[in-house]
Amino acid sequence: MTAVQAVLLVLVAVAGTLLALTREPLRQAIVSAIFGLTLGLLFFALQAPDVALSQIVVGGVALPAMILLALAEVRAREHRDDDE
Amino acid sequence: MSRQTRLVVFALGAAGLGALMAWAFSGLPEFGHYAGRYGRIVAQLAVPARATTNAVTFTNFDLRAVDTMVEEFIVFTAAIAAVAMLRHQRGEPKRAASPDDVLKPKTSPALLVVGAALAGPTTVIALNLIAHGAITPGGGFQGGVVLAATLVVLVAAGARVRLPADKPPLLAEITHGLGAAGFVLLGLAGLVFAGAFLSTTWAGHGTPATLLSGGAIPLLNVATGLEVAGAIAVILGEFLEQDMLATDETEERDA
Repeated sequence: MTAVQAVLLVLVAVAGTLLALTREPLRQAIVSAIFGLTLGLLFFALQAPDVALSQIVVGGVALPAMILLALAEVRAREHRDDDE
Repeated sequence: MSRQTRLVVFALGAAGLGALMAWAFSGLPEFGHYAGRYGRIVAQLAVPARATTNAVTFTNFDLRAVDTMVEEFIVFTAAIAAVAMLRHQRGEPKRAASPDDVLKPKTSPALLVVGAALAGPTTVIALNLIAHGAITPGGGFQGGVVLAATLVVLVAAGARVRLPADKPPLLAEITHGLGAAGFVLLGLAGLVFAGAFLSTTWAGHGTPATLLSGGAIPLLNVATGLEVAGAIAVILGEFLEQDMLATDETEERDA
């Protein structure tokens, strides 16, 4: 195991713990993007570039975007309920 | 059970689990030392048998082709499910359709500049990933998601998305359907021309490490790219169409 891999393993552990400790949904979306990115870098360091690409685009972009949109949906609905 | 008893039970359990994990990990093969035979065979076959220098793509689209097709349809079904659920709920808040139904997110100039600067390069990266799936890391799935991410970048940068009240984002849906149908049709082409469903040999091998190598694998990558990009665009479109508009509306009313 190289130093880069070891450092990235620790980073993933730290980011994962932070994600689990984050309680506010909006922050969770952002922290999950960071976690997804560190995981992607780890896969890259472990010589799995195909998996790393999937992980970066899905974990770093697509999943946080979906969470943000779902939050927007929930808030919009709460607004509507308040209006009625 | 008191808090103290629970802590004792947890400590015992954690210690036991830790010991078992340490025992298990000590018996694992050395890091990076793959012991299986299958991986070696696949890696040796990729170039001589199918002219694909990316063994991962060779495995996905040739060796386990039907599995990959089913995975395609997981994405396909997920998009359809999102559409079915969100459209069902759309009937509730009645909103008159007018030409002013344009999505106008409040965007900072910095986000606008970054978004505008990123949109072109991400599109090129996406097409590059799809086109070179058989040669270098990447492929239809990765490229497709990057292509859909370009859409996210554009919307985040404040691109105006015109939203007809009851029409779906048609281009995304056509792309979505074409990709899924294309994958199956390419599979049938394998059945007709090479005698096996999803066989990739009928299109010729080509020279390894050139754009048109790997038989039908580049075509399957294009189909996958269209399908995945379309599916994610459909889901995003459904969310955007329904909810961001509603958010805008209520905010204006509150102001």
